[in-house]
Amino acid sequence: MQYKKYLKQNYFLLKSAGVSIFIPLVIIYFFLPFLNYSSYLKYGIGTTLYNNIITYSQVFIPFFSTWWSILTLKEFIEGQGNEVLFVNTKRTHLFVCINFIIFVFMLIPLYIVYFCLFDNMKLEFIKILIECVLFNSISFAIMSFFRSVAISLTLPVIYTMYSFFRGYSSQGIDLSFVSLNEATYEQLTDKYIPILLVSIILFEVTRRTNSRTTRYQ
Amino acid sequence: MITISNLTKSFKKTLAVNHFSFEFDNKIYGLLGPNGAGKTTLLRCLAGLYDYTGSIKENGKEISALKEQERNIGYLPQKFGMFGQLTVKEMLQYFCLQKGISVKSADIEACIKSVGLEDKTNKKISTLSGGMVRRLGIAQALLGKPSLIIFDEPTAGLDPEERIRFKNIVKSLHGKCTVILSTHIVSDIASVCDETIIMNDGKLICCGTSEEISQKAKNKVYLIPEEKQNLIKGKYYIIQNTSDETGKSQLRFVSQENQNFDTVEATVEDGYICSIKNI
Repeated sequence: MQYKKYLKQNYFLLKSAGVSIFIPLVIIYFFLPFLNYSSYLKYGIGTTLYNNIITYSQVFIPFFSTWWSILTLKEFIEGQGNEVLFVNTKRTHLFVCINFIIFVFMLIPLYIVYFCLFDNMKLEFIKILIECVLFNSISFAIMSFFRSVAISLTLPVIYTMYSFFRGYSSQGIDLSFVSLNEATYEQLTDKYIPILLVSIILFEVTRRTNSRTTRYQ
Repeated sequence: MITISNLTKSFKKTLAVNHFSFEFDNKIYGLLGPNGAGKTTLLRCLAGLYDYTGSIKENGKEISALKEQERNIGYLPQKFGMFGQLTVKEMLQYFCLQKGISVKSADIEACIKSVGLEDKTNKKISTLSGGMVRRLGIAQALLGKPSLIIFDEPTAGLDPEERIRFKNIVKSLHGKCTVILSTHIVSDIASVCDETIIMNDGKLICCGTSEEISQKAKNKVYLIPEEKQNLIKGKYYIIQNTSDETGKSQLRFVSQENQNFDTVEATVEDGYICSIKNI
Protein backbone atom coordinates (compact mmCIF):
# COMPACT_ATOMS: atom_id res chain seq x y z
CA MET A 1 0.00 0.00 0.00
CA GLN A 2 2.87 2.32 0.94
CA TYR A 3 4.51 1.55 -2.41
CA LYS A 4 1.34 2.57 -4.22
CA LYS A 5 1.44 5.88 -2.39
CA TYR A 6 5.06 6.44 -3.40
CA LEU A 7 4.28 5.43 -6.98
CA LYS A 8 1.52 8.04 -7.22
CA GLN A 9 3.69 10.66 -5.54
CA ASN A 10 6.43 9.83 -8.02
CA TYR A 11 4.01 10.55 -10.86
CA PHE A 12 3.32 14.06 -9.53
CA LEU A 13 7.00 14.71 -8.82
CA LEU A 14 7.91 13.74 -12.37
CA LYS A 15 5.07 15.82 -13.76
CA SER A 16 6.32 18.82 -11.80
CA ALA A 17 9.64 18.55 -13.65
CA GLY A 18 7.95 19.53 -16.92
CA VAL A 19 9.17 18.53 -20.38
CA SER A 20 12.67 17.62 -19.17
CA ILE A 21 11.31 14.22 -18.13
CA PHE A 22 11.24 13.23 -21.81
CA ILE A 23 15.00 13.63 -22.30
CA PRO A 24 15.89 10.00 -21.38
CA LEU A 25 13.18 8.77 -23.77
CA VAL A 26 14.61 10.92 -26.56
CA ILE A 27 18.05 9.45 -25.84
CA ILE A 28 16.79 5.83 -25.74
CA TYR A 29 14.31 5.90 -28.60
CA PHE A 30 15.75 8.50 -30.99
CA PHE A 31 19.35 9.47 -30.30
CA LEU A 32 20.89 6.03 -29.65
CA PRO A 33 18.96 4.33 -32.51
CA PHE A 34 20.07 7.17 -34.79
CA LEU A 35 23.74 6.69 -33.83
CA ASN A 36 23.46 2.94 -34.20
CA TYR A 37 21.65 3.17 -37.52
CA SER A 38 24.35 5.53 -38.85
CA SER A 39 26.94 3.02 -37.75
CA TYR A 40 24.98 0.19 -39.41
CA LEU A 41 24.81 2.12 -42.69
CA LYS A 42 28.55 2.68 -42.59
CA TYR A 43 29.80 -0.69 -41.33
CA GLY A 44 26.88 -3.15 -41.66
CA ILE A 45 26.21 -5.80 -39.01
CA GLY A 46 29.56 -6.82 -37.55
CA THR A 47 32.16 -6.21 -34.85
CA THR A 48 32.37 -2.46 -35.45
CA LEU A 49 28.64 -2.00 -35.03
CA TYR A 50 28.72 -4.17 -31.90
CA ASN A 51 31.58 -2.12 -30.44
CA ASN A 52 29.86 1.13 -31.31
CA ILE A 53 26.61 -0.03 -29.67
CA ILE A 54 28.34 -0.94 -26.39
CA THR A 55 30.35 2.30 -26.41
CA TYR A 56 27.35 4.56 -27.05
CA SER A 57 25.30 2.62 -24.51
CA GLN A 58 27.88 3.02 -21.78
CA VAL A 59 28.30 6.73 -22.51
CA PHE A 60 24.62 7.62 -22.36
CA ILE A 61 22.52 4.97 -20.64
CA PRO A 62 24.05 4.94 -17.12
CA PHE A 63 24.02 8.73 -16.92
CA PHE A 64 20.44 9.10 -18.15
CA SER A 65 19.24 6.29 -15.90
CA THR A 66 19.66 8.73 -13.01
CA TRP A 67 17.74 11.53 -14.73
CA TRP A 68 14.28 10.78 -13.32
CA SER A 69 15.59 10.07 -9.83
CA ILE A 70 17.36 13.42 -9.82
CA LEU A 71 14.28 15.24 -11.11
CA THR A 72 12.11 13.52 -8.51
CA LEU A 73 14.39 14.34 -5.60
CA LYS A 74 15.04 17.88 -6.87
CA GLU A 75 12.07 19.37 -4.97
CA PHE A 76 13.21 17.57 -1.82
CA ILE A 77 16.62 19.20 -1.87
CA GLU A 78 16.12 22.49 -3.68
CA GLY A 79 12.41 23.37 -3.54
CA GLN A 80 11.51 26.45 -1.54
CA GLY A 81 9.96 25.37 1.74
CA ASN A 82 10.79 21.76 0.91
CA GLU A 83 10.69 20.72 4.57
CA VAL A 84 6.93 20.21 4.19
CA LEU A 85 7.71 17.34 1.80
CA PHE A 86 9.54 15.49 4.56
CA VAL A 87 6.72 15.66 7.10
CA ASN A 88 5.06 12.41 6.02
CA THR A 89 7.65 11.08 3.59
CA LYS A 90 10.61 9.41 5.18
CA ARG A 91 11.69 6.96 2.49
CA THR A 92 12.95 9.09 -0.38
CA HIS A 93 15.10 6.17 -1.58
CA LEU A 94 11.91 4.54 -2.85
CA PHE A 95 11.66 7.24 -5.52
CA VAL A 96 15.12 6.22 -6.75
CA CYS A 97 14.05 2.55 -6.88
CA ILE A 98 10.76 3.32 -8.66
CA ASN A 99 12.45 5.49 -11.28
CA PHE A 100 15.17 2.93 -11.83
CA ILE A 101 12.57 0.22 -12.49
CA ILE A 102 10.67 2.50 -14.89
CA PHE A 103 13.91 3.25 -16.71
CA VAL A 104 14.73 -0.45 -17.07
CA PHE A 105 11.28 -1.07 -18.58
CA MET A 106 11.89 1.78 -21.01
CA LEU A 107 15.24 0.27 -21.95
CA ILE A 108 13.87 -3.18 -22.78
CA PRO A 109 12.46 -2.35 -26.28
CA LEU A 110 15.84 -0.96 -27.37
CA TYR A 111 17.62 -4.06 -26.15
CA ILE A 112 15.10 -6.36 -27.79
CA VAL A 113 16.32 -4.90 -31.09
CA TYR A 114 19.93 -5.45 -29.98
CA PHE A 115 19.11 -9.04 -28.93
CA CYS A 116 17.88 -9.67 -32.47
CA LEU A 117 21.11 -8.31 -33.94
CA PHE A 118 23.70 -9.93 -31.64
CA ASP A 119 23.52 -13.04 -29.44
CA ASN A 120 25.84 -11.64 -26.80
CA MET A 121 23.64 -8.63 -26.09
CA LYS A 122 21.98 -10.38 -23.13
CA LEU A 123 25.27 -10.19 -21.25
CA GLU A 124 25.72 -6.60 -22.38
CA PHE A 125 22.25 -5.87 -21.01
CA ILE A 126 23.19 -7.25 -17.59
CA LYS A 127 26.40 -5.18 -17.74
CA ILE A 128 24.53 -1.97 -18.55
CA LEU A 129 21.96 -2.65 -15.80
CA ILE A 130 24.77 -2.97 -13.24
CA GLU A 131 26.26 0.29 -14.51
CA CYS A 132 22.85 1.93 -14.12
CA VAL A 133 22.59 0.64 -10.54
CA LEU A 134 26.03 2.13 -9.84
CA PHE A 135 25.08 5.51 -11.26
CA ASN A 136 21.79 5.61 -9.38
CA SER A 137 23.60 4.83 -6.13
CA ILE A 138 26.21 7.51 -6.81
CA SER A 139 23.55 10.12 -7.65
CA PHE A 140 21.46 9.23 -4.60
CA ALA A 141 24.53 9.51 -2.37
CA ILE A 142 25.59 12.84 -3.90
CA MET A 143 22.08 14.28 -3.64
CA SER A 144 21.80 13.18 -0.03
CA PHE A 145 25.22 14.35 1.12
CA PHE A 146 25.81 17.45 -1.05
CA ARG A 147 22.15 18.42 -1.46
CA SER A 148 22.77 19.81 -4.91
CA VAL A 149 21.28 18.87 -8.26
CA ALA A 150 24.16 20.52 -10.13
CA ILE A 151 26.78 18.33 -8.39
CA SER A 152 24.59 15.26 -8.86
CA LEU A 153 24.62 15.86 -12.59
CA THR A 154 28.24 16.97 -12.90
CA LEU A 155 30.08 14.25 -10.98
CA PRO A 156 28.59 11.34 -13.00
CA VAL A 157 29.60 13.16 -16.21
CA ILE A 158 33.17 13.52 -14.90
CA TYR A 159 33.16 9.88 -13.83
CA THR A 160 31.95 8.80 -17.28
CA MET A 161 34.73 10.83 -18.93
CA TYR A 162 37.33 9.39 -16.55
CA SER A 163 36.07 5.86 -17.20
CA PHE A 164 36.40 6.24 -20.95
CA PHE A 165 39.89 7.72 -20.75
CA ARG A 166 40.84 4.91 -18.37
CA GLY A 167 39.24 2.38 -20.70
CA TYR A 168 41.48 3.49 -23.56
CA SER A 169 44.72 3.89 -21.57
CA SER A 170 44.64 0.97 -19.06
CA GLN A 171 47.30 2.42 -16.76
CA GLY A 172 47.06 2.64 -12.94
CA ILE A 173 44.24 1.37 -10.74
CA ASP A 174 41.04 0.69 -12.65
CA LEU A 175 38.16 2.55 -10.99
CA SER A 176 36.17 2.87 -14.18
CA PHE A 177 32.80 1.27 -14.75
CA VAL A 178 33.34 1.00 -18.49
CA SER A 179 34.39 -2.09 -20.36
CA LEU A 180 34.84 -1.68 -24.09
CA ASN A 181 35.44 -5.37 -24.64
CA GLU A 182 32.71 -7.84 -25.51
CA ALA A 183 30.90 -8.94 -22.34
CA THR A 184 31.79 -12.37 -21.00
CA TYR A 185 30.80 -14.30 -17.88
CA GLU A 186 34.33 -13.80 -16.52
CA GLN A 187 34.07 -10.06 -17.04
CA LEU A 188 30.73 -9.99 -15.22
CA THR A 189 32.02 -11.96 -12.23
CA ASP A 190 35.42 -10.25 -12.05
CA LYS A 191 34.40 -6.67 -12.63
CA TYR A 192 30.65 -6.15 -12.63
CA ILE A 193 29.52 -8.23 -9.66
CA PRO A 194 31.95 -6.28 -7.40
CA ILE A 195 30.61 -3.02 -8.92
CA LEU A 196 27.07 -4.20 -8.14
CA LEU A 197 28.02 -5.00 -4.54
CA VAL A 198 29.72 -1.61 -4.09
CA SER A 199 26.63 0.08 -5.55
CA ILE A 200 24.26 -1.74 -3.22
CA ILE A 201 26.45 -0.94 -0.20
CA LEU A 202 26.65 2.74 -1.21
CA PHE A 203 22.87 2.88 -1.65
CA GLU A 204 22.23 1.19 1.69
CA VAL A 205 24.71 3.43 3.54
CA THR A 206 23.03 6.51 2.05
CA ARG A 207 19.58 5.21 2.92
CA ARG A 208 20.55 4.47 6.50
CA THR A 209 22.34 7.79 6.89
CA ASN A 210 19.26 9.58 5.60
CA SER A 211 17.00 7.80 8.06
CA ARG A 212 19.30 8.19 11.06
CA THR A 213 20.41 11.77 10.64
CA THR A 214 18.31 14.85 10.14
CA ARG A 215 16.11 14.31 7.14
CA TYR A 216 15.64 17.97 6.48
CA GLN A 217 18.69 20.25 6.43
CA MET B 1 -2.62 16.58 23.27
CA ILE B 2 1.06 17.23 22.65
CA THR B 3 3.50 17.17 25.53
CA ILE B 4 7.00 18.53 25.15
CA SER B 5 9.44 17.73 27.93
CA ASN B 6 12.95 19.09 28.16
CA LEU B 7 13.26 19.51 24.41
CA THR B 8 16.76 20.52 23.34
CA LYS B 9 18.04 20.99 19.83
CA SER B 10 21.44 22.32 18.90
CA PHE B 11 23.26 22.93 15.64
CA LYS B 12 26.98 22.43 16.22
CA LYS B 13 27.69 25.03 18.93
CA THR B 14 24.40 26.89 18.67
CA LEU B 15 21.69 25.90 21.11
CA ALA B 16 18.49 26.66 19.18
CA VAL B 17 15.99 25.17 21.63
CA ASN B 18 17.04 24.95 25.25
CA HIS B 19 15.20 22.59 27.64
CA PHE B 20 11.77 23.61 26.39
CA SER B 21 8.78 22.04 28.13
CA PHE B 22 5.13 22.70 27.37
CA GLU B 23 1.77 21.00 27.03
CA PHE B 24 -0.39 21.82 24.03
CA ASP B 25 -4.12 21.26 24.27
CA ASN B 26 -6.81 21.59 21.59
CA LYS B 27 -6.36 25.34 21.49
CA ILE B 28 -4.91 28.00 19.24
CA TYR B 29 -1.42 28.98 20.37
CA GLY B 30 0.57 31.96 19.21
CA LEU B 31 4.33 31.67 19.23
CA LEU B 32 6.20 34.95 19.61
CA GLY B 33 9.87 35.71 19.85
CA PRO B 34 12.62 37.76 18.25
CA ASN B 35 14.57 36.50 15.22
CA GLY B 36 16.75 33.56 16.21
CA ALA B 37 14.66 32.78 19.30
CA GLY B 38 14.26 29.15 18.18
CA LYS B 39 10.62 29.29 17.06
CA THR B 40 11.13 27.65 13.66
CA THR B 41 13.42 25.01 15.15
CA LEU B 42 10.80 24.21 17.77
CA LEU B 43 8.13 23.92 15.08
CA ARG B 44 10.34 21.71 12.91
CA CYS B 45 10.99 19.43 15.90
CA LEU B 46 7.21 19.23 16.43
CA ALA B 47 6.74 18.38 12.75
CA GLY B 48 9.27 15.56 13.12
CA LEU B 49 11.78 17.15 10.77
CA TYR B 50 14.64 17.34 13.25
CA ASP B 51 16.18 14.87 15.61
CA TYR B 52 16.18 16.20 19.16
CA THR B 53 16.93 15.33 22.73
CA GLY B 54 14.11 15.32 25.24
CA SER B 55 10.65 14.18 24.44
CA ILE B 56 7.70 15.16 22.25
CA LYS B 57 4.66 13.02 22.82
CA GLU B 58 1.45 13.09 20.83
CA ASN B 59 -1.38 11.47 22.79
CA GLY B 60 1.21 9.70 24.93
CA LYS B 61 3.30 8.35 22.03
CA GLU B 62 6.77 9.63 21.23
CA ILE B 63 6.55 11.24 17.77
CA SER B 64 9.92 9.92 16.60
CA ALA B 65 8.57 6.38 17.07
CA LEU B 66 5.43 7.01 15.03
CA LYS B 67 5.22 5.74 11.47
CA GLU B 68 4.68 8.01 8.48
CA GLN B 69 0.92 7.61 8.38
CA GLU B 70 0.39 7.69 12.13
CA ARG B 71 0.92 11.43 12.30
CA ASN B 72 -1.79 13.73 11.08
CA ILE B 73 -0.08 17.09 10.73
CA GLY B 74 -0.75 20.19 8.74
CA TYR B 75 2.44 22.16 8.31
CA LEU B 76 3.07 25.44 6.55
CA PRO B 77 6.75 26.39 6.43
CA GLN B 78 8.06 29.95 6.40
CA LYS B 79 8.84 29.78 2.71
CA PHE B 80 6.51 27.78 0.54
CA GLY B 81 6.81 27.42 -3.20
CA MET B 82 7.43 24.31 -5.22
CA PHE B 83 5.96 22.14 -7.97
CA GLY B 84 5.74 25.05 -10.41
CA GLN B 85 4.54 22.78 -13.23
CA LEU B 86 1.65 21.24 -11.26
CA THR B 87 -1.80 22.76 -11.05
CA VAL B 88 -3.28 23.85 -7.72
CA LYS B 89 -5.48 20.74 -7.63
CA GLU B 90 -2.63 18.38 -8.52
CA MET B 91 -0.42 19.81 -5.83
CA LEU B 92 -3.12 19.24 -3.23
CA GLN B 93 -3.60 15.70 -4.56
CA TYR B 94 0.13 15.17 -4.01
CA PHE B 95 -0.18 16.32 -0.40
CA CYS B 96 -3.21 14.04 0.10
CA LEU B 97 -1.03 11.13 -0.97
CA GLN B 98 1.78 12.31 1.25
CA LYS B 99 -0.51 12.51 4.25
CA GLY B 100 -2.05 9.16 3.41
CA ILE B 101 -5.56 10.51 3.05
CA SER B 102 -7.93 9.64 0.25
CA VAL B 103 -7.76 11.99 -2.72
CA LYS B 104 -11.40 13.02 -2.51
CA SER B 105 -12.06 15.94 -4.79
CA ALA B 106 -14.63 17.31 -2.37
CA ASP B 107 -12.08 17.76 0.42
CA ILE B 108 -9.57 19.32 -1.95
CA GLU B 109 -12.15 21.63 -3.40
CA ALA B 110 -13.32 22.67 0.07
CA CYS B 111 -9.74 23.52 1.02
CA ILE B 112 -9.21 25.47 -2.19
CA LYS B 113 -12.45 27.36 -1.55
CA SER B 114 -11.52 28.13 2.05
CA VAL B 115 -8.46 30.05 0.85
CA GLY B 116 -10.29 31.72 -2.03
CA LEU B 117 -8.44 30.02 -4.88
CA GLU B 118 -11.44 28.31 -6.50
CA ASP B 119 -10.93 30.17 -9.79
CA LYS B 120 -7.28 28.98 -9.90
CA THR B 121 -7.96 25.25 -9.37
CA ASN B 122 -6.58 24.21 -12.74
CA LYS B 123 -3.91 26.89 -13.05
CA LYS B 124 -0.22 26.02 -12.82
CA ILE B 125 1.48 27.09 -9.61
CA SER B 126 4.16 28.93 -11.57
CA THR B 127 1.47 31.34 -12.79
CA LEU B 128 0.26 32.26 -9.27
CA SER B 129 1.39 35.33 -7.34
CA GLY B 130 3.41 35.01 -4.13
CA GLY B 131 0.32 35.66 -1.98
CA MET B 132 -1.68 33.01 -3.85
CA VAL B 133 1.09 30.43 -3.36
CA ARG B 134 1.01 31.30 0.34
CA ARG B 135 -2.74 30.67 0.39
CA LEU B 136 -2.16 27.38 -1.37
CA GLY B 137 0.32 26.54 1.38
CA ILE B 138 -2.39 27.23 3.95
CA ALA B 139 -4.80 24.98 2.00
CA GLN B 140 -2.36 22.05 1.98
CA ALA B 141 -1.89 22.44 5.74
CA LEU B 142 -5.66 22.14 6.25
CA LEU B 143 -6.02 18.97 4.14
CA GLY B 144 -7.30 15.89 5.93
CA LYS B 145 -8.46 17.67 9.09
CA PRO B 146 -5.12 17.34 10.93
CA SER B 147 -4.94 17.03 14.71
CA LEU B 148 -1.97 19.42 14.81
CA ILE B 149 -1.59 22.39 12.49
CA ILE B 150 1.63 24.37 12.47
CA PHE B 151 1.75 27.72 10.71
CA ASP B 152 5.16 29.36 10.47
CA GLU B 153 4.74 33.01 9.44
CA PRO B 154 1.46 32.27 7.65
CA THR B 155 0.43 35.85 6.89
CA ALA B 156 3.72 37.00 5.35
CA GLY B 157 2.91 38.23 1.85
CA LEU B 158 -0.85 38.16 2.28
CA ASP B 159 -2.90 41.26 1.49
CA PRO B 160 -5.16 42.68 4.26
CA GLU B 161 -8.28 40.92 2.92
CA GLU B 162 -6.50 37.57 2.85
CA ARG B 163 -5.10 38.14 6.33
CA ILE B 164 -8.65 38.58 7.59
CA ARG B 165 -9.71 35.45 5.70
CA PHE B 166 -6.79 33.53 7.23
CA LYS B 167 -7.63 34.70 10.74
CA ASN B 168 -11.23 33.54 10.21
CA ILE B 169 -9.97 30.13 9.04
CA VAL B 170 -7.85 29.81 12.18
CA LYS B 171 -10.74 30.89 14.39
CA SER B 172 -12.95 28.25 12.76
CA LEU B 173 -10.44 25.59 13.90
CA HIS B 174 -10.97 26.51 17.54
CA GLY B 175 -11.49 23.43 19.72
CA LYS B 176 -11.11 21.02 16.78
CA CYS B 177 -7.34 20.61 16.84
CA THR B 178 -4.11 22.08 18.17
CA VAL B 179 -3.02 25.08 16.15
CA ILE B 180 0.40 26.68 16.61
CA LEU B 181 0.87 29.99 14.89
CA SER B 182 4.29 31.56 14.75
CA THR B 183 4.37 35.16 13.57
CA HIS B 184 5.94 38.55 14.19
CA ILE B 185 2.58 40.26 13.78
CA VAL B 186 1.46 40.58 17.38
CA SER B 187 -2.01 41.83 16.46
CA ASP B 188 -2.68 38.59 14.55
CA ILE B 189 -1.87 36.58 17.67
CA ALA B 190 -3.87 38.86 19.94
CA SER B 191 -6.96 38.52 17.79
CA VAL B 192 -7.04 34.77 17.14
CA CYS B 193 -4.98 32.91 19.74
CA ASP B 194 -6.21 31.46 23.02
CA GLU B 195 -2.73 31.48 24.46
CA THR B 196 0.54 33.14 23.58
CA ILE B 197 3.92 31.55 24.10
CA ILE B 198 6.95 33.84 24.21
CA MET B 199 10.36 32.38 23.41
CA ASN B 200 13.82 33.88 23.57
CA ASP B 201 17.24 32.25 23.21
CA GLY B 202 15.56 28.89 22.76
CA LYS B 203 13.79 29.09 26.10
CA LEU B 204 10.18 29.50 27.10
CA ILE B 205 9.96 32.98 28.63
CA CYS B 206 6.27 33.07 29.45
CA CYS B 207 2.88 31.86 28.39
CA GLY B 208 -0.64 33.13 28.89
CA THR B 209 -3.73 34.64 27.35
CA SER B 210 -3.49 37.97 25.55
CA GLU B 211 -4.75 39.69 28.71
CA GLU B 212 -2.15 37.95 30.86
CA ILE B 213 0.65 38.92 28.46
CA SER B 214 -0.47 42.54 28.33
CA GLN B 215 -0.69 42.58 32.14
CA LYS B 216 3.10 42.13 32.18
CA ALA B 217 3.36 45.71 30.96
CA LYS B 218 0.72 47.11 33.29
CA ASN B 219 1.80 50.52 34.67
CA LYS B 220 5.00 50.36 32.60
CA VAL B 221 3.75 51.92 29.36
CA TYR B 222 3.97 55.65 28.77
CA LEU B 223 3.00 57.96 25.95
CA ILE B 224 4.81 61.31 25.99
CA PRO B 225 5.59 64.16 23.60
CA GLU B 226 8.91 63.47 21.87
CA GLU B 227 10.57 66.62 23.22
CA LYS B 228 10.26 65.19 26.75
CA GLN B 229 12.39 62.17 25.93
CA ASN B 230 15.32 63.60 27.90
CA LEU B 231 13.15 63.47 31.05
CA ILE B 232 12.86 59.67 30.93
CA LYS B 233 14.67 58.06 33.85
CA GLY B 234 16.65 54.82 33.79
CA LYS B 235 16.30 51.95 31.35
CA TYR B 236 13.49 52.22 28.82
CA TYR B 237 12.49 50.80 25.45
CA ILE B 238 10.75 52.82 22.75
CA ILE B 239 7.88 50.87 21.22
CA GLN B 240 6.44 53.36 18.81
CA ASN B 241 6.87 56.85 17.39
CA THR B 242 3.42 58.27 16.74
CA SER B 243 1.72 61.61 16.20
CA ASP B 244 -1.15 63.06 18.17
CA GLU B 245 -4.20 64.69 16.57
CA THR B 246 -2.31 67.99 16.19
CA GLY B 247 0.54 66.26 14.36
CA LYS B 248 2.96 66.50 17.27
CA SER B 249 5.44 63.66 17.57
CA GLN B 250 4.84 61.24 20.46
CA LEU B 251 6.83 58.44 22.00
CA ARG B 252 5.34 55.27 23.37
CA PHE B 253 7.79 53.48 25.62
CA VAL B 254 8.00 50.92 28.39
CA SER B 255 10.08 51.36 31.50
CA GLN B 256 10.42 49.50 34.75
CA GLU B 257 11.16 52.65 36.65
CA ASN B 258 8.40 54.94 37.82
CA GLN B 259 8.35 57.90 35.48
CA ASN B 260 6.80 61.30 36.08
CA PHE B 261 4.30 60.72 33.29
CA ASP B 262 0.88 59.14 33.10
CA THR B 263 0.79 55.49 32.14
CA VAL B 264 -1.41 54.23 29.31
CA GLU B 265 -3.19 50.94 28.76
CA ALA B 266 -0.82 48.08 27.95
CA THR B 267 -1.23 45.92 24.86
CA VAL B 268 0.04 42.42 24.03
CA GLU B 269 2.92 44.05 22.14
CA ASP B 270 3.91 45.99 25.27
CA GLY B 271 3.74 42.79 27.32
CA TYR B 272 5.85 40.99 24.73
CA ILE B 273 8.52 43.72 24.81
CA CYS B 274 8.57 43.69 28.63
CA SER B 275 9.04 39.90 28.59
CA ILE B 276 11.80 39.91 25.99
CA LYS B 277 13.65 42.94 27.34
CA ASN B 278 13.20 41.81 30.92
CA ILE B 279 11.55 45.09 31.86
